Amino acid sequence: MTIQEYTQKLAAILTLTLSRSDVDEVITETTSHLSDRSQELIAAGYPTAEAERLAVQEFGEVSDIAVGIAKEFPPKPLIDSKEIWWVPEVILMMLLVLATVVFSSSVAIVGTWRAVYNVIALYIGAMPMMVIPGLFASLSRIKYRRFAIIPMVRRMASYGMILSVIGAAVIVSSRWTRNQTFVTMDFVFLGFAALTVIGYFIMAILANDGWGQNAFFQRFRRS
Amino acid sequence: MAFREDLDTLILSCLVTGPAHGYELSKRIRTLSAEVLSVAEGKLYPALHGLEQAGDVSAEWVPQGTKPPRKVYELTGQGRTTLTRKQSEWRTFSQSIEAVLQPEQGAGK
Repeated sequence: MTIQEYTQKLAAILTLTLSRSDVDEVITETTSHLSDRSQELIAAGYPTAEAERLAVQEFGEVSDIAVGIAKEFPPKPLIDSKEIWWVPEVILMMLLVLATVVFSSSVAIVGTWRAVYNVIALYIGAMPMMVIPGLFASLSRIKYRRFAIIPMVRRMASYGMILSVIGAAVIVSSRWTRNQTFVTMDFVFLGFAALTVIGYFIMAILANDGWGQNAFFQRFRRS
Repeated sequence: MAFREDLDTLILSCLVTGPAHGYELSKRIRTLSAEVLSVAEGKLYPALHGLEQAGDVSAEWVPQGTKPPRKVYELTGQGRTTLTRKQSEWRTFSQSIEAVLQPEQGAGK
């Protein structure tokens, strides 16, 4: 069994009883230990595969280790058990979208913007806020002093993409229902939204974790 | 010899010489016991977590560049007190065992 197979098996068992953060902590520490040991064995002349097999064997039977760890760590909270970990993030995003609308509308009303540009004002106000939900969600997931910039950017892009799509839909529906013609700034924003979506898809297809593991994106990757 | 009892005391004792991560600790146990005591390495971590929760050791994650970060453990003041108590208990226990295993020496005194 390789180190990766061992840690995956351990994580699969621990996920049943421990919180996501505790599982992450245990797996990080286990991986570090097994890597150290296998490197030592490789330096002693063992082939890589044999070194990993020995390191895993010395560490102990995965089910025994999992039982020992499960006894020492607290049971996972309800939010993990119910697989609703994403709810706080969605609520946060909705609140920030609401705040964005209120803020941008205020700018549009108080400023000298003509009514026709109100929608544009909304998106100009929304631009910096697009990254905030992702930033908050990413920061809340930084643990053990690990600052993983790529997942953080990807998470920010996820929220940015959602907000961009919402914004694009609002622009199109606003112009369409009022029977107005599109202005240059509309096309600028729609182009921005399209680029965000394309960029997000490229990132997801190239990613090795998170949404990148989704079968939908994997299909693109294989082809 | 597989040492299953009082792993906590071994860990605390090995941390007296300085902070260490889990793998380093398992090596210290092997080295200090002249390879006599072997702890299933994976069993160290539940014990370390228990000691951390009890306040006998503190832990800090140390980044390792491209490698996974390491959790480094350090003995706390409370841990030193616990170790002193456990060492005393162990000496009493081992002297009792010794007295039972070699009754003629005890009787000769």
